Amino acid sequence: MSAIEIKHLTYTYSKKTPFEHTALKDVSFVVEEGETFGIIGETGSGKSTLIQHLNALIKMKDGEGTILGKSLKDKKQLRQIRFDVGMVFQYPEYQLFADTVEQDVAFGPKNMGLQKVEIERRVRRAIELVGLDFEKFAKRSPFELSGGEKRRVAIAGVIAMEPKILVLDEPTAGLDPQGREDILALVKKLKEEVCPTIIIVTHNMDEIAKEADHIIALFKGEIIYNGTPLEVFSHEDFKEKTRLEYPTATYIANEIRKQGVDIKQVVTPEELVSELARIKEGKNV
Amino acid sequence: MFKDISFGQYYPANSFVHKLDARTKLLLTIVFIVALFFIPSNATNRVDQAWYGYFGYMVTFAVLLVVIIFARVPIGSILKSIKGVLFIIVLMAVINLFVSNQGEVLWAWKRLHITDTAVHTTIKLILRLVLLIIGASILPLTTTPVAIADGLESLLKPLGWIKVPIHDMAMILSIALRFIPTLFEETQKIVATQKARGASFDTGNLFKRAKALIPILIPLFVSSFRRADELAFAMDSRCYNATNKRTKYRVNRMGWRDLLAFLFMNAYLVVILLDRYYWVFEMDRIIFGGWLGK
Ligand SMILES: Nc1ncnc2c1ncn2[C@@H]1O[C@H](COP(=O)(O)OP(=O)(O)OP(=O)(O)O)[C@@H](O)[C@H]1O
Ligand SMILES: [Mg+2]
Repeated sequence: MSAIEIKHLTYTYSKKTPFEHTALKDVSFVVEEGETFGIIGETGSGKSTLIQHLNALIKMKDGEGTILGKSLKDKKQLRQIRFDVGMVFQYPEYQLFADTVEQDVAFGPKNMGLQKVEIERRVRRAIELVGLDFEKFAKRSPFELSGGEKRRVAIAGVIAMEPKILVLDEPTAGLDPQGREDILALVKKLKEEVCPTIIIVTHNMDEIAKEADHIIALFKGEIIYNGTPLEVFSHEDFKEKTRLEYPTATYIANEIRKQGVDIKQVVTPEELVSELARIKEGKNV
Repeated sequence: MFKDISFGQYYPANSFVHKLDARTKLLLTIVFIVALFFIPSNATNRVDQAWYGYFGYMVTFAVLLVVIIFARVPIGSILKSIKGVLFIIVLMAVINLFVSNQGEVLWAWKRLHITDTAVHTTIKLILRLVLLIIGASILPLTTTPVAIADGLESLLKPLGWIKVPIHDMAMILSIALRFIPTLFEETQKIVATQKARGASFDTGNLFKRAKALIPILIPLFVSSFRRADELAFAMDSRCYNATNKRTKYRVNRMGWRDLLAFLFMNAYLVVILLDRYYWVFEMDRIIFGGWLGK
């Protein structure tokens, strides 16, 4: 069973008004369990609209979809799907509302109707998983934290629901390089310890090239490419068709290739380095 | 962006009425409302005058039809504004139908009765309200909120001479209008986020539902204050101050369209006034003469 299957999904905002706008056109893809799945696309290409379908925040109109075998069109399953798919939105720190970090993180588990003991266990675990000291942070107001800490608390609020699939919409937007790295490390940790299936939406090609097993590239609501990072970034018309940039490593390799050097396609800095080492040795020998 | 204006009723189109100056539309809306109230809505005591006023409503209807055609807005969007107040209209009509004691009793049951005068009064009341709402909806349908705010500021300028802070009020109004779609979008986002955390807003009793709003309202307030702060800072750093001598980025000028519109609507007002005071409902007598009296 695949984690997610979407078939022929089309979605139009403000249908039948002068503001009508088709945000998704005939989108189909499959996410396997245990995969890190990347969604890329320029701003306005429909990424957020797409992921909001994945936990039925937007009702599916045209198309079919199943999440862990449950149909997105089955009203009785919607609640369960919401709990199966954890959703961390763009700038999640703006969702904080409670008096203390502990209460805020407990909001989701409480809504699930869990026992008090279980809620406490999950809250503590989630706060510690995102790398915050429970004793130090639990009783503090979420509004007094730094931006990065707020984001961690917000992510903890989703993690505490122990979803089977975690969707992150631009988790690193607006953070400094260190903050970005921390969040990516956190995502890796969550993948290992909480939910193996992860979907990341991002503008940052370097990050996605490194993290994802599989990516889809959207442009104006349509899937242009669907494949492994290597496959997707190997397309020569990638830039024109998606209006995105290549990952830095791919860009450098492409430039080197233009100089007539026989270099393989790469997507991560590590691959680039080993490729360069291979060429250097080949030449030296 | 289109999302910035997609609230309220504004219906984008490139029509004659859309191109009119907002001030023209504001003034002519007032002219229309004044004219409408010169058409009698309650029948007088005299039975032979029961039909008085219907001619005026016919003229009004024709005028509105012309305006709507020139505004190129779909009838549906106009009917929508009536739908919102339909309940009030029906309620007023029903009350009206039973209160009048004058005229011939058409129907009676215990202490309730309906007279022919009451029927006429009620029909006229409904006509007046419906026409009023249609007429008043033309302005927001064809003018962006920001243009309306600008127009208001310009029209209210004379109040500035008696030290009413018109400019500040206009600034507050346009900032408020500017942020309605932003807040709306923000609200949608927060609702989506909390729903993803399993919040539900449509179950439980009233108290529970009110409590369910807390996770929406608090983030909304927090971000509104943050936005207000940022905006104030941005205005300060651009040396904004609200003196009277500020110039406008968009300068509105009246043109031939505005002249035509003024002539048209004032002609309508004149016809209504003539009908009432000079012809004294001669037209009603000509048209409905057959039914008048007994
Ligand atoms: N509530 C809405 N009403 C109308 N149109 C909308 C709405 N939300 C999004 N859109 C439009 O749908 C399109 C896709 O939006 P979406 O938010 O999915 O883009 P995105 O790929 O997530 O962009 P970004 O990278 O900027 O977050 C955009 O053109 C947007 O203007
Ligand atoms: Mg987005």
